[in-house]
Amino acid sequence: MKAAKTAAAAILVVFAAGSALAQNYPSGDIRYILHVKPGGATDVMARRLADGLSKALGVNIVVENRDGGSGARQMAQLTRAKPDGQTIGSVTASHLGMFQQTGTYTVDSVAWACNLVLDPYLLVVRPESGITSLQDLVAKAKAAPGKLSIAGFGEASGGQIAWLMFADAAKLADGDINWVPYSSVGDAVVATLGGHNDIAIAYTGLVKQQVQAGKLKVIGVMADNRLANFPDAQTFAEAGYPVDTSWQQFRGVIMPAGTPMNIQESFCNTVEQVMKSPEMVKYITDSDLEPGYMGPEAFTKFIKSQDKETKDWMAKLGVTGN
Amino acid sequence: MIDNILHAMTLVLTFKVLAALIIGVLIGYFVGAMPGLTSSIGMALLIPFTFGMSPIAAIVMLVSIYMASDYAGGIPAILVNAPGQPGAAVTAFDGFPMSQRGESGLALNLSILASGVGALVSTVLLVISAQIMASAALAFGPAEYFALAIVGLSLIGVLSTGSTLKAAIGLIFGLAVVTIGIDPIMGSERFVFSPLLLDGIPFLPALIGLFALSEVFVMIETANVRIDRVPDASSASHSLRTLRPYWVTVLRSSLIGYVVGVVPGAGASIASLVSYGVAKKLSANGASFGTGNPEGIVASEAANNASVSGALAPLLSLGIPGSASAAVLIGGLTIQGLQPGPLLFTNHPEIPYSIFVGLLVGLPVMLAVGLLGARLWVQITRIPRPIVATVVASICMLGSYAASNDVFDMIITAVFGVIGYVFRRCDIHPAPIVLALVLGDMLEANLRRAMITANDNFLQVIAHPIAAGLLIVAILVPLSMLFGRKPAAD
Repeated sequence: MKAAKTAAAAILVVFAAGSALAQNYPSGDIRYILHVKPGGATDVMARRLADGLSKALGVNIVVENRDGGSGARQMAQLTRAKPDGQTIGSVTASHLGMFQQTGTYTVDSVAWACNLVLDPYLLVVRPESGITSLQDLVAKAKAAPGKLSIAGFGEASGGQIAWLMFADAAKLADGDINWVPYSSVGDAVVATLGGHNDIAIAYTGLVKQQVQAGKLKVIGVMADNRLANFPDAQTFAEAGYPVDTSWQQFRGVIMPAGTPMNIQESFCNTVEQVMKSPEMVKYITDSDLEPGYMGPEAFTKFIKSQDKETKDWMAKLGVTGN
Repeated sequence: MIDNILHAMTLVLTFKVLAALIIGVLIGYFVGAMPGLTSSIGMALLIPFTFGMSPIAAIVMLVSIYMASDYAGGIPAILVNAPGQPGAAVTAFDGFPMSQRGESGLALNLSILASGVGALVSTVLLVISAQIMASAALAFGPAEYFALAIVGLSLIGVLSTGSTLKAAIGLIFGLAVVTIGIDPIMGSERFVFSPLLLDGIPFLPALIGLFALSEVFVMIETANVRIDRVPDASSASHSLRTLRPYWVTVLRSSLIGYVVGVVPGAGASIASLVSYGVAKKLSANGASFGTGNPEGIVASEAANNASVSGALAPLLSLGIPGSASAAVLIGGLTIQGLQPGPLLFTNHPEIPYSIFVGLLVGLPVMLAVGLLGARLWVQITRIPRPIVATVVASICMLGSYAASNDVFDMIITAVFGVIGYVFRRCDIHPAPIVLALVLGDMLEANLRRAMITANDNFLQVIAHPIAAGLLIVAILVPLSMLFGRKPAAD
């Protein structure tokens, strides 16, 4: 009872402080801490967003790259910062894998403010592989278990879990197709282009040019509808392998845990406006990303279900984490 | 092709693009000479400034930074044994001893001239062979990378001076360091005592510690030793005369650098290590490598600059980055609405050809800055040692902090500085350690990837033709050392 009262009081205080803060938010320059090196796709997009946000909010957005430790370096900075919305961070699906691996951080270590874009997973092959469709892939794997291999990013990553979902739906046994982990999705695509692996699991932006040039072929799309870029590629469900299509790569913004909800909302409303600006829309289209804005509530719900799914699949994989 | 080059010239030879090129070269010199600021970091930090530029100006500026910084990394390597870029670590092996002999001016001139030739040769190779070499880049898969790493490690006997046992200790130490971090295949933690070490020991801070900071400790020890310096004869024409006997080495190193650069994942560090090893093996004065032999500088610098153009070949023809800096270049192109890939030559031929022209036009600018600047930079050697030691120590710390804005990296630098110092006192050369740090992950991750693909059948892994060929080379190199030692000692 006493605990409940204290909690209620605490919530009131936070709420009161929050509404007071929201009126003069942002109170100064905002630190935007990225978990990636400068120059990559996530970095470039964050800097674009920072540019738009700084114009809309009238303060500087100071972008800092704290790459390393699969995101742990950024988390160390973010969890130490004041939860006042003046410090924000970048987030992608790889954070969830890091949480599982280390045990130092969990989904509750930060506030999930908003999601920016989504990126559905694709299965691609070389035309020379002779694999024509998802059904064909499954049939070939069953005929010669262990002969085919799939290249993807890391172990227990979003990509591997997407692959496991497909393998489960297609009733492929462990070892029918070997999972070969690379240090990035780009490396996995290159290995498949060179014929060192037969299949890769990737995103649109990484394979579009190769597909146009006839060097790769998309055989399946993990989404509800076919993609505009690859109108001939079937969705997993169309091919007869229904999976949970909410499982997608995402890029969003996080804040220190305990950042008041009204500050998160005020910030995210601006983000939503910036994401709709012509420059940003053009950038997203050019980069072949899917717009996927989610506010604090929707994003938090999305993350909780992604986290649960990650844990379930990791348990099936036999990877328990710490 | 000629049409495309002429068209690109009209695009590049405009005031705005040339201004971008010169600014790029100057920034490249600064970034390259600062230990910790690599070309990829420098380029990435400048990308926001290219938002408002034309695509040609933006790309030419980024490429100029890339090329110039790869040269400039050799300057602090020669003067104070602090490589400004990982690829310049090998330049320090002979450059710093030359500097200690009072020949820093000559060493600097040789390094800029060799870099210039390396850049020129490789750019010409790039123009001719970019589209052909692309298939070579794709031919490298897990089995081939594993074999390449074994070839690299087999050079240990060639690279090390003195005791093979001590070289082996350095190598094993380096390989042990590489095991720290997340297992590249299973994703489990290995020797990770802090979440900050999940990605392993950061390479750049460790390198700064091993080379530069440990040198500071040595400087402190010998602070009171007076060195009578020989007057430095370092005119460009004298340097050209000194370079002449090594023209075969320069050309061979440029070729090695270009080819190694083409292979994604094998960048300037591996290029200069391999080229240095080969030059030492083939040189009549191989035994004096590591004690200030000009040929060693030439071999390293020609190769690491040639690898820059090499890394651009798979980028321009396939959209595959051949190095970290090439990956940043993809970011720069994407911002301009250009997606590098197999269609770039067809859809936007002005981009690759402007890069070719930019590289060629930038070359004289880079040479001029280097040759004129050398006179200025050698003055560092006149500054009293205690002051140099203090300044270098601060630059080491600043550089290691700048690499990822983290105090933790400064601790890594300090720890590796002490380790490097102890190893020096035990006469263990840093070369085998660098070799292991560069190749360790390539070796392990690719062997295991190849084994998974081959259902754990090792014979199937080494049955790949390229891999098998490389492994034979890896066996022949140490054997040739065994039988070739006597004549080399004469």
